[in-house]
Amino acid sequence: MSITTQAAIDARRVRRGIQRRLISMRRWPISSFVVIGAIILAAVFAPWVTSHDPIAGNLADRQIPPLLFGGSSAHVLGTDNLGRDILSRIAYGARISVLVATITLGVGGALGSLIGLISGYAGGWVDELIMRMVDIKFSLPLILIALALAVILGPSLPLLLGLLAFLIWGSFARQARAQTMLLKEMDYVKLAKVAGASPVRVVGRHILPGVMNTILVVATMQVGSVILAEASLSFLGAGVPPPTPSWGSMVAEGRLYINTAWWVSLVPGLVIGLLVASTTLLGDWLRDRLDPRLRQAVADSQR
Amino acid sequence: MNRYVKFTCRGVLLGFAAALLGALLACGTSEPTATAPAAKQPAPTIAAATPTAPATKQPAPTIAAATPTAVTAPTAAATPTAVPAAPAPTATAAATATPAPTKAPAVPSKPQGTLTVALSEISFPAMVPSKLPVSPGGLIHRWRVYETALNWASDKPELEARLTDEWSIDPTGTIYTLKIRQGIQHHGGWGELTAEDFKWSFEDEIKEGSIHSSIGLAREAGAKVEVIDKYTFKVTIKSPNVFFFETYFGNAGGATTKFFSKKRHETLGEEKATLDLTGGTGPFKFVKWEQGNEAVIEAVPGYYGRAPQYQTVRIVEMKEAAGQIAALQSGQVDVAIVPAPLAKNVSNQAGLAVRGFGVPGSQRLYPQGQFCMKQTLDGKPLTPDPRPGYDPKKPWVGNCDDPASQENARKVRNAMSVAIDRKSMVANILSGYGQPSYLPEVSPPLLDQIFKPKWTIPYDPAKAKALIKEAGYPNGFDALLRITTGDHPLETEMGQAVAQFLTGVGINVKIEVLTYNANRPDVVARKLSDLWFRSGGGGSAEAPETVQLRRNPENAFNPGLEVEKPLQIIRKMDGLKTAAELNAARDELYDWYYHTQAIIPVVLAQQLIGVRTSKVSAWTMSSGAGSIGDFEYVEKPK
Amino acid sequence: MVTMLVVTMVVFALSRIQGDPRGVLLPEDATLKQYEDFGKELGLDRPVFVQYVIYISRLAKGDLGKSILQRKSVAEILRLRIPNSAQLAASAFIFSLLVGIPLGVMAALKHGTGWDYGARLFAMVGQAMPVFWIALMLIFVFGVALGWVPTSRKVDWTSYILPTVTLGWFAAAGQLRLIRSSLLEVLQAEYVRLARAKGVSGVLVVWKHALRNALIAPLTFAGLTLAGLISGSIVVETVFAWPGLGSLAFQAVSNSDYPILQGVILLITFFYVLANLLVDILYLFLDPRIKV
Repeated sequence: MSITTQAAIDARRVRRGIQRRLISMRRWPISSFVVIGAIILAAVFAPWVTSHDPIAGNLADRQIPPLLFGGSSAHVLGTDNLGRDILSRIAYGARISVLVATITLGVGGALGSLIGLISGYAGGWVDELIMRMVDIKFSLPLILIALALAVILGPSLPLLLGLLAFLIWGSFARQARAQTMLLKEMDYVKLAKVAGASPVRVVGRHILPGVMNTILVVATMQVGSVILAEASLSFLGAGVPPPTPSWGSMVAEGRLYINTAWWVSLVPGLVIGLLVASTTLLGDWLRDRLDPRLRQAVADSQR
Repeated sequence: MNRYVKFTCRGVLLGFAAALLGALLACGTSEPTATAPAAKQPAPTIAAATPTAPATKQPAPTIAAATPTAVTAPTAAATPTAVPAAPAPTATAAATATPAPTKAPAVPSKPQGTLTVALSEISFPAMVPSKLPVSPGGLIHRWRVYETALNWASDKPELEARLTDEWSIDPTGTIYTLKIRQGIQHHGGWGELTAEDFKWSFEDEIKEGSIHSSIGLAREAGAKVEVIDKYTFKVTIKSPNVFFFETYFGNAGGATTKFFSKKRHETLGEEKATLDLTGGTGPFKFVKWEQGNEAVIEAVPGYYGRAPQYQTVRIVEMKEAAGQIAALQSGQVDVAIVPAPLAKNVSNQAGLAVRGFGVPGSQRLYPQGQFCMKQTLDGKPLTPDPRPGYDPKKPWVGNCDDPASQENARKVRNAMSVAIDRKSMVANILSGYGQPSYLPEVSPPLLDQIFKPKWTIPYDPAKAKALIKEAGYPNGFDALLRITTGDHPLETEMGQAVAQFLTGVGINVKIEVLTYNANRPDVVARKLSDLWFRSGGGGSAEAPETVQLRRNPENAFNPGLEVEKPLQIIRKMDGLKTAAELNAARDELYDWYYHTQAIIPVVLAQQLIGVRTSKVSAWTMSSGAGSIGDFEYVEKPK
Repeated sequence: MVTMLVVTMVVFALSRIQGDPRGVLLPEDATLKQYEDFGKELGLDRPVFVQYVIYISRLAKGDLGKSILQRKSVAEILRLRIPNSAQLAASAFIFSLLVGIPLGVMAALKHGTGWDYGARLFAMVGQAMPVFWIALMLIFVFGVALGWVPTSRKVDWTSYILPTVTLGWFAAAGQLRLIRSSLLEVLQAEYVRLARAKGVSGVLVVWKHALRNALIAPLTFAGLTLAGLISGSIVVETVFAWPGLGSLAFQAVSNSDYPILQGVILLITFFYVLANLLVDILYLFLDPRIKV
């Protein structure tokens, strides 16, 4: 076979591969939606998921395996060390996770984006200063600081929310700034400025909508980070205080028994993973959907 | 093409740099691999326990549920014996938690081999009496490198000779005379052990600025040491004190006096001596100590007592309890602490066995904030006054000056106490390795001697609810329960179970889990008026009152109870001479505790260790054990 | 270097709102007077600002203070632990490259096939599952159930296996996805098609043009990887009883041993800043098109 023919065949193969990918991009990530939807539903309707109390258990029912592994239908996912129903605790744990994710992303995201917007639009020393702060924030080993604070001040939910919001505002700031700087040079923005619109108006009307898309992508990517961070802190004992169920602390409670009552740790861990995977896939899909070029911009902003 | 060459070159250089960096970093020492697990032969069975029949007249609280054959349950004690020649009573008796060995086991000619033991913490070396913390740094005598004057026997409730082989107490009960064995050499060539060494060790222990844990008692007793001759010394105290003797001369707990070489300290100076590993008088000496990693000890020839069978013992730190078990099961270590619920799993594995050790440790609930004393028993005013944590609005505290309020608080505490299903906790969480606790901070064997059925606390949630209503809380109340960690692998579960029981009777409990050390500052500052679930690790043969006496309001530490009555009774016990008088006073004391539930006892938890049967066939630990040690008593399978 | 100054301030502030460390060291029956004396020894009776100035000046001299619990100098304690953490981090990083890059390339080349999905599943598990969960499951499966590898402490080379995989999985996943997507993207770029049309053999095209650009990606990700490795190391080192900085930090936090905590935070930040600097320099080398 001549070289040109081979090259042509190769080219076609690659093109087809890419076409396939483009097609799959158009497909919606159904599984992600299902998982995320289920978890949100479980969070909202937690008291109705099972009839068991997530906080008060019966010691005599301690460590019953899940239904499929020799348990009973009364406790589909089994019970934990104190006889509490795991499915019920997962549902209530979902409340914590959803709450944490929403508030943290809301607060951290909003603040971060705002800061990024200002930084990108203003430029000059304001920009320098803010970017420096962001750099510093990224250098701090936040999980350590979170641990220390939790030990000093005692673990509490507001503290956790505040810490996690602080964890993620940086990515939002960087992304917002990058996008703002891009859009700032756009003709229609310049026109608005020339027409005499106040900075607030320019930003609010013209730049913000353009930035929203990228922010949304960053948000979905950060959900995973937030959930994992909360789980890690809860695992180490610095997250949501007991007896409120939190997936991370559920894994921690079962760690002594991975040999004998493995479901106590395995099930909440799986749920965490599923949720994070779903949001990440969702984020990927959103990103591909909105603009492939964003990928590079997002990657740059994460440096 | 050129660019790619440049790129490749740069890449290669980078790779080199990275490798170089890696090589530079790779300066950590690797340890010798742990001895590989023995081939899977049928495990030699460890002699099943023949518990010595309890000689006590009172019924001992029963140990719930079955125990697997290879595990030995803690045995009840024999009657208390007076240790010194004169009739000063010693409170406690010893218990063996291991199978009763043949009286004189054959000792092999030369120690050989390595035993690897997993512990959850190796702290820092502090080889100076005034710097030895309570634990785990104070474990150097459990690890048999340093020693005490006397030793609690493993099979009877007596103190027997260790460094001192003769001792007596004078008729007034205020002068103890002890004589050290002759010819004991300090390790590291620091010369012979003499009475001067004891004098120096003791005085360093109680000097100003020392962090040794039994300063209070020595100071209060006005202890003075006098050297009579090369091997004899005399300790004089102001007034008779039954607890003094075993506190300082026994080997239970960190409060005891370990004998250090005066010459070593003077030669090296304090700084160097603190980190220096060359001292000690026991059958082992330190070879290595790395905080957070491991400590290695080696047998020393020519020890005056029993010679070890193992040449080397490696004590490695493994924080994760599951990691310890995994290491035990996979062959990485030979001995590990086994949490009770995993005992069956471990003992089912071929080549492993589970055995109890030490006496069950008391797990208790402190209702904090009961700060009713304004001055010490001797009239010294207490500062700060009032205590920051005194809150009369707390249901379990009440108003110290109002008897009606005090009565309500008493009802609340009683309610909390009867709300706890102790038997269920023992059966379900401790898998039967333990027993309900009805006397605060009292473990067997003393428990078995003094317990009376009238002190049994029933499980009665209905009564609990009624009492709470009577006390004026028809809708229950809120409470914060702190669980401190670091003592027992099951402490969080036990604490949460207690919270669960309390919630079941209308007390809205919030839980806070923190390490003991993180909690301690607030405890010391008397700031706390919440509930504190405190897990004791292992119990020991010490009289519990020694523990309680060390908690007088002048001391830094106090669990949240500053009330006159129990301290008065304990002080009265100081001057008593006969066992009968002592027990009568105890009766009064525990009647008071039972009535007021000032400290709420929960359960006694037996500690278990898992051992590799190919390496350990018998192991008799001193009843002063609260922790793993006495390695010279590890017997290899024949 | 402003970063470092800010960090010292943060760290100092942190330690001072921390619980009173005196309670940790004194035994249960120490009197309140001993308590106060000890406080003087620690310098807790001077005003805060003075304490900070003292702190900075000592730092400049290389004195990180003495551990409260251990009475050894912090610098010495850290020095013992650094190699262990560094070795683990290095091995995790190498693992991520050795596993992530080839899998990523393969996933891109065999795009759409089972291999691709398999690789992406591997990546998904690594990034979505919490580190501690992976650690526990690996311990159970490989350490206990199968008994193939040791599960605690640093003994010999086999001890590295589980911690490395646990810590490196996340990083490997990131590398994999990045390589895959950037390779895929590059494969359809104009100049590649041009090169193919010119007749250069397909394989050569991939390996020379595409890979070169695609390799920029791990570098981009290196910063995040490092952050992930550091935060992951606390959990991993604690679970595997690895004697490194992460477990030391956790112990210090539990014991209110603030000099050590300060030291660890400072050290980690320092390394992070250093690493980022290195990455920037490397970036400059490898892709002269990008102006820093």
